Amino acid sequence: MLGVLNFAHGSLFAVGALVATSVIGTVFPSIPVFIGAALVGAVVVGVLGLVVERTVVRRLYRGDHITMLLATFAILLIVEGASELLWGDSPATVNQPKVLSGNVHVLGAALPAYSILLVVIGAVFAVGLFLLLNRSRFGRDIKAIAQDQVMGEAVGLNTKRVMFLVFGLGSALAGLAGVLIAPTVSVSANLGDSYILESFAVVIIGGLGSITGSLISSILVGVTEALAVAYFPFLSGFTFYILVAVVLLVRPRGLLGNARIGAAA
Amino acid sequence: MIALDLVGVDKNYGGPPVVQDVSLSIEVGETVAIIGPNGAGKTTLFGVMAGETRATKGRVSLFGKDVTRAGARHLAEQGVARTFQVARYFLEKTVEENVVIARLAHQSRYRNLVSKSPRSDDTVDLALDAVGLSSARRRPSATLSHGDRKSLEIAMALAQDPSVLLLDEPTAGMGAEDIPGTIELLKGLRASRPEMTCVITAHDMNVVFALADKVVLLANGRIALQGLPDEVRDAPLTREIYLGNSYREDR
Repeated sequence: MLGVLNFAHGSLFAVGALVATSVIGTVFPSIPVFIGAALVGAVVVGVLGLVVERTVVRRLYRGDHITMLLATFAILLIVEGASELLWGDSPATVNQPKVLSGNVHVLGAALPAYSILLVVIGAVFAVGLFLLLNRSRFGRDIKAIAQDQVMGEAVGLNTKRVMFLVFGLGSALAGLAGVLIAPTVSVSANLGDSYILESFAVVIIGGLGSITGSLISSILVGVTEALAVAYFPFLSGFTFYILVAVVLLVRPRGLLGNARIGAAA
Repeated sequence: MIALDLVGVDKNYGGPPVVQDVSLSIEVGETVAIIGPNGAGKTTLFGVMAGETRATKGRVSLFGKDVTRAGARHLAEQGVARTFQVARYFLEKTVEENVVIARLAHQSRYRNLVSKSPRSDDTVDLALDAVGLSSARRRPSATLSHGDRKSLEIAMALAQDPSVLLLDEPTAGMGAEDIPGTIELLKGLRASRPEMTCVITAHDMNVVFALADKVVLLANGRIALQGLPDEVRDAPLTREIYLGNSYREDR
């Protein structure tokens, strides 16, 4: 949204998952405990994101994209290192609430209830973000600043505060996602590494700065990867690189990208 | 009463000064035009008044309050609105949304992130009316003609109900046929808002002489001359460094 490609997001996501290991421990959590863990994860990581914005990212908005990329990569390394110190380097597991550990039969196929819940939560947040950006005053100001920061200042928008809050909000969502993903993976400090590349692929294919683009692109990437696994197994894990390459060749700004941000990046 | 007061303002970007020892007092309700050849420092001086550029030395006050280090947003909050040489506005928004954003910008405190985006009000309607864009309010701003973009910027400035309006080259890039309309528009604004102080930079002398109460000639970053429009126009120095000797005959 802000034209910031944020590598650190991956490590923030991992912190969310690690927080889940601390809050939940090795037991099967009840639903309230699990929701509590999700909230704690979102708050802890959100605050961490605010600190990162204020100390590092804020100074670099006016610099070039490569500086921002390097700085956020450095933050990724620092946060991962600090997480290893705090939580150790052996992978941990988190259980999902027992109620959600069964399968649900949909059209004859047995799908894990928890996966369905994740999809539903993802959809709810996508709609929520869409409404926030398109219906609220805060969202309107975010979009205005994303388009022209200088003009935003000139008419009196508090661009610093908006960017601070956006960064915090994005981080909190990463923390929440970390908690939610924890039961399905083996949790360690470098958990985010594998996701961050895929997320970048999604963002680049969808177009920088476009939420709708990201949404379409995430489905495209997911389905392509699934089809590849089924029909061309030797391509699995490789499909999003191919998609990125094709999109960059044919449409460098991505499916629905903002030409201005795309060109600058 | 003095609206905008500059005392001994210098600005350099690490090299030689772009603006040097500029002192200028602008009365409430006055319209001052800043003229000068390219590279004279007009845009930099303008940036200092708008808070976008920070003076290296000297003092800027707004209604007696020191705003030398205030920054663009704070000046906007205190009633300074501006337009840009190349019109700036939020491209992906409609005409009306642009004006609404400008109208409400400095009230946004974000205590409640999900509060609904407000719609237009009388001030927005008046601003759109004043520049003749009422009928285009639902249009995407990116589809406006060049002249209308300039008008939209002026509407955005008016929607902030400014006490000081800074117009950077209000007719830059306009076709000759659009310029008289813009001059009339600005004259109308002056007449309807006698309390509003106005600073204009312009290359077009028709704009300057139609609107300005006072003209400041800038050369090499310094004020070479200031006075009533006729005085400045007729001064030999103005012809020498700016208008050229043929100016009189052209008129």
